[in-house]
Amino acid sequence: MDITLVEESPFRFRIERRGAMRVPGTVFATRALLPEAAGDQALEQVANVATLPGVVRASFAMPDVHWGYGFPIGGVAATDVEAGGVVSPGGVGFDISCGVRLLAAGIDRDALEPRLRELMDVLGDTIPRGTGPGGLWRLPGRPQMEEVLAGGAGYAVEQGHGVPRDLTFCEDYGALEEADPSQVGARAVERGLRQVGSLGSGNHFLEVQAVDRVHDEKAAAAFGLRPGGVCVMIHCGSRGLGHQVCTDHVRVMDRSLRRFGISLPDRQLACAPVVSPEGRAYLGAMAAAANYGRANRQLLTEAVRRAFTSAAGVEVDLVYDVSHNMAKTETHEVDGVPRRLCVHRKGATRALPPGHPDLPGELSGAGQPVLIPGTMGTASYVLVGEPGNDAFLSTCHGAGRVWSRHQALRRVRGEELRGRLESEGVAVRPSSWRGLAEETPEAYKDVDAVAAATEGAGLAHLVARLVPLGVVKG
Amino acid sequence: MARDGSAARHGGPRGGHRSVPHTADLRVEAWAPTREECLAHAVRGVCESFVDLSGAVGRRRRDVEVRAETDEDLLVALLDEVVYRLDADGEVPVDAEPAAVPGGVRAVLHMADVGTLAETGAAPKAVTLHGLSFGRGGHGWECSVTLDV
Repeated sequence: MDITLVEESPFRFRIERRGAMRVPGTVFATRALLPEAAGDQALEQVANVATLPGVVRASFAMPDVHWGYGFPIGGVAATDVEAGGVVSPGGVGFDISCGVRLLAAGIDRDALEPRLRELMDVLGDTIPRGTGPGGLWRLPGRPQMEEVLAGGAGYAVEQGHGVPRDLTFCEDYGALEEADPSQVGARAVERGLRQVGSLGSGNHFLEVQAVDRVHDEKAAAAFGLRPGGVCVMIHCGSRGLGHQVCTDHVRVMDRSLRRFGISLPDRQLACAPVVSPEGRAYLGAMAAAANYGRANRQLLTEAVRRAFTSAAGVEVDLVYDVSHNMAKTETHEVDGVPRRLCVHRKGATRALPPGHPDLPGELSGAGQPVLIPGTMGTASYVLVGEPGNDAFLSTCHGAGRVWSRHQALRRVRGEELRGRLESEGVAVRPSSWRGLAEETPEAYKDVDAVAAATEGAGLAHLVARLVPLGVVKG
Repeated sequence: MARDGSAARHGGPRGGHRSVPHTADLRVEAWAPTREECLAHAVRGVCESFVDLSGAVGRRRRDVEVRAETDEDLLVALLDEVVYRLDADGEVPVDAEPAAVPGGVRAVLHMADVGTLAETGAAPKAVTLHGLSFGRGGHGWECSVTLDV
């Protein structure tokens, strides 16, 4: 399909409705950030998502949009629950509740510098990562797993893996109440039993960072961020459990499409009405997997705290924990009428503005922190939600890949990359040389440009820029 | 186009496999004279994307049987087994010997522990239906499958 983009503003493009599209596409980006690699199907995927039953307003793409499968990565779409709207597991992604957690340490980068190597060694030795089993918290069996699936980060804290304050600064206070552990299959549970408290592989990481620049002093202060302050960013999700939940429910929905009279341009968009048994089953399982993801990041937080205590003698507080692979039932005005919508965010972050009723009192004045990981050689960003965001209060989730893993491997060697990063003052603890090379900074869009476009498009505004000091690579 | 694991292994299935670029994921293509040999190459292609299989020896045998209404779904079902075993048990098939049974295939998987193999890349975590194809082509049978890593 040829995609024609109409420029509405320097930060906003429209894909006109055509064919089976029920709504137009809206791409928030500058011309320079638009996907352009030969064969990249991201914009076609934006148009494909616009064909989903019940979709409203537009199929949105964030400035970091890139080619996924089914949904583009960096895609947002909402369906009207009461008007036949569907839920699509592909609109959440395999790594359910993959997200970012930011911690602030009670130390500045200059004071940490002499202890950074030791800290990175401790983190490198204690943070489980890579393929297969090997988490910090081994669950004995399904009963305890069901507690994790129902209670999320709250259950982890209850079991001693954190402090109650942590939960205040988690999206949904660390757990989705609508979780239905009975919809999580045996294989998903088996994959998850030995992975709670592990990064996994791919683009997941744990980074020690420093606040390089503060753009919004008031919001930064509210989030506990100060110039030169040391932070830790954790990017990971629900590991094999989440992937198996998505796999299982996509298979079920793929088989039930004909019964619902749904035809799709891509099988990975498999979906079912939100109110159908298949839709409800998936949403219950998805919420359970999301809770697992939040417990996972909670366990890693505990390991970070131990490392900072032993290597630097300082404490670490949670700034915020936010998911970027989720579907949520939310109420938004559509054509002036409040509607219950199933908002899919696939590689996109919820971004609540100041005063939003879903925010805890501690963040009500400042708004919700939005955590945007960049690359291990460039920067990451903290932003905050803006009112008037018509993408259902959503924003980007990262820099966005531009090179395939193959391209990265052809151009970069892991050993050389580590040497380069170390010479730039970034301590690197890789899981494998190839895995490191695949995540080379050049494989991603310019995160500064993505953050600027996000602000320019009115999706969120900049609070702080963070730079890496050390990275533990999944 | 990237690494090409075609043909040559002595005693292995005829045909070949390779992985091709995709920004988010891993896409594997395989080809062979028969459907079952093509499946064996697809399994090999997936595993070679994240561990070094040269000289690897299977320590354990697993017999899996998968059924599906279409060949495409059969491919997905077999690779689902590979991904599941990797995550749940830390096992990687160093060789696969699929044989046709009514409605599907029975495959003997010769498994090695992933910890004994050199990890060379990000492991697949799920099999997608995006751009999935499996059917007769110029090489006999050809398939293309995208995996989440």
